[in-house]
Amino acid sequence: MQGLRTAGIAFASAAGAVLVASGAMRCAAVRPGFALSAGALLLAGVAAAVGWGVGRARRVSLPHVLLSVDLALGTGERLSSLYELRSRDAAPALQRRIEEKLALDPPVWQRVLRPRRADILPWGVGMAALAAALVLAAGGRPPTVSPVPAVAPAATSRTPSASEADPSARFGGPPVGGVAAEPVRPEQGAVAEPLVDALAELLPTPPSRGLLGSSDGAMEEDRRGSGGRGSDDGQALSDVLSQIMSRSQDEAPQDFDLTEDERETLRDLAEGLPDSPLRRALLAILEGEPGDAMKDEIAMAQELLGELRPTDPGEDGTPSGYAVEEGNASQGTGDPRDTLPGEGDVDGRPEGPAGDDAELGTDPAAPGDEGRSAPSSGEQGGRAGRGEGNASSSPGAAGLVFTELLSEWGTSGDVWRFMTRGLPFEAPAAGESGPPGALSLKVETLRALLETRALAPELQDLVRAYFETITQGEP
Amino acid sequence: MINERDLDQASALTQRLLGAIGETIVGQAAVVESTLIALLCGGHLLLEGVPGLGKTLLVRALASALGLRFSRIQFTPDLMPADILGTNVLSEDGGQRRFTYSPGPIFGNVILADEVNRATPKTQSALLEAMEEQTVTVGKATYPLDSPFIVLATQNPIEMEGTYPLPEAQVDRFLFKVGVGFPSVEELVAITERNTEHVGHWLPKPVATAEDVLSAQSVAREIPIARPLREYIARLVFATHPEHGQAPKDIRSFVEYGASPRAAIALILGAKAHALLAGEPNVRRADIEAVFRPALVHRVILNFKGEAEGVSVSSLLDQVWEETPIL
Repeated sequence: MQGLRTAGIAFASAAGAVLVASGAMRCAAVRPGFALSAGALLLAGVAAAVGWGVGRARRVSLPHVLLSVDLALGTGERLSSLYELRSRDAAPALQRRIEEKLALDPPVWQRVLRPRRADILPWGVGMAALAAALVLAAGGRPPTVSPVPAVAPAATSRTPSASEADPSARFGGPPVGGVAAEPVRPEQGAVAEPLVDALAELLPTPPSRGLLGSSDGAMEEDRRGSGGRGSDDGQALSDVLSQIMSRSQDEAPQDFDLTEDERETLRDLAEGLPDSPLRRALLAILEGEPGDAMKDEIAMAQELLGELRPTDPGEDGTPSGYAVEEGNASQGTGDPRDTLPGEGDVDGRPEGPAGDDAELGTDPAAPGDEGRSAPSSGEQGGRAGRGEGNASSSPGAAGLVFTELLSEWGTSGDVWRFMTRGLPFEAPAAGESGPPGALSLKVETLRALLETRALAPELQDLVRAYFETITQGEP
Repeated sequence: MINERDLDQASALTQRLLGAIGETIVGQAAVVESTLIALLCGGHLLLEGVPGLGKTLLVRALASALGLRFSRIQFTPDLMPADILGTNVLSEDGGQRRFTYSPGPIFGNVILADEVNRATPKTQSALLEAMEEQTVTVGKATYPLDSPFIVLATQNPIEMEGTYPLPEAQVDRFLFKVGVGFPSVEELVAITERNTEHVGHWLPKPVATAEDVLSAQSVAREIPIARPLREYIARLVFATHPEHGQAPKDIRSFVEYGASPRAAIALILGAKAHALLAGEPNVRRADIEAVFRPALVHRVILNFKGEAEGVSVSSLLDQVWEETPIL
């Protein structure tokens, strides 16, 4: 019992120390984790073991133990008195008399073996403290970071083997062919892994959502606002914006304006959204001046809407999305891996830009659902989701295509301030201005996207380094 | 080494004594019990109570039941030590004159020192050597007292005029101090019946001899007490000392001197005798509790503050008992 009590006190002390440490770590915003939990358990266990050893090693005074037993059993201190006589080998008559008394009223030994409250209390306190420490540690755990799928590294090899060239072989999807998609090179993955970890530590959302993907609360609200209510509102908004944009092509820029029906529809849809960049963009369209400025606002709204496409799989297991409804998307397998960016069906690569001299990049024009459904790289996730790629050779195709950008970048400003080598993006949608194969990148759009995420300059550098690293050694 | 027969005889003796004294004394069970404990321990008893409660009768009944020699000394202010101890007197034997020692009333087995606080301290101190050493020194000669030897002193707590309170050194020599309380209505009725319907009161017939008492004293000392209980008794005694760290708060406030080591001895001996009286072969905590207050109440000296505030030593001892852990 002495060992039990000492072990309990040691255990409670250790657990208390762990609790204090957990509290201190939480106050200091130190990220606790498995190490702390395991360490806490180990520390408490070791302390209990040491306490048990110390308690066992302490000299036990038999007369005192016997007296405590006497008191517990109510034996009239006969046991300790009998020990006193026997230790001195005195008064056998009295010894016999005591033994007779004990025999007449035999003690109930279970009453002695039952742990007292003082023996159990330290264990209870220790367990409570340890539980509190673990709860405290669990409460301070940061969001789980999912590993970044190796999107870009898959596009670095130009001479893949047959199995490597077919991403479906890796993911169990339907066979595809004639695609320059490349497998992940282990060494490049290894190079990128530290950066991924670093990004996971720094970014408030997992990098798997795309470095330009929605990450703040407003964007989440947008996603819930459009996707949470089902795809109807999002589809309707997409249709309206596409319709308006199509009509703008036929009208003179200075005469372009919204019709009353369009205004009403947009207003209804905007009012159904929470306060978010998309809602603000829609309101800007409604309140903006007619002409080119309005077209730009519409284009930005389309960009923002594209990022917020729902990713939930449909009832048939296929990811629901605008492209599916438009009939351009491939029928998803329902495999969650389909949602990984850059791992979709490569049949959907655009015809124009792709070629032997393809450069790094992805084919965002394909209406494939994988790239769309995954909240990956912003541009890709946006336009590919709409399925409006101008090179949809086959329905449901999406994936990585290495292409060389043929046209000039953007319309104004320093596009390379926002772009870097290895950054995946999508081809221009149908109806967008410019020659075939040209990308219409607007500095304002890119800036708006980055500003939406409020990415710190050092993180922007880190993102840039990430994409440059995954193209390491390749043209 | 005692044997089964000694144990049985001792137990039987105590029961016979209790029965014999109970025939004369109505009620006062605690006083009777304390008297027998003092007898079994070879100690002395200080009885405190107002006159007329049967203190003297108790002592006489005890002496009669034991068949021992009884002496009564009425202490008065003019009582001299020689009146207690005896003195050398000139005697003539065969034509020769010489001083011969004439023993005083102290030479007896059961001594009643009635109203002991009325004698002068010089006379009171004459009892010191007799009580402690069980010898008497007169002139150059020392005379042993008979065994068993027990002094039962009484004192009146209310008539303090012209009294000489016993000095602490002398009080400490008494094993117990027992207050003799007023009897209950039923007991008083029984007392009046015994004293009004017969020719006086009667004393019990002897039920034991001096040898029986000495044997019982030996048996009582053999009663075992566990070492942790000895340590417990030591802690109890230390707890009456105001300078002791574990003394109760009131002890530190109102006590001038705590109990002496003689108190611990009295506690152990008294507990042993109490166990024997109860027919138990060993000392229990209950035995210690039974003798705790009579053994310590006269050994704890209040300070001025305690005296001024009328603090009861018994209440202080209650605190000591409650707050001292047994282990």
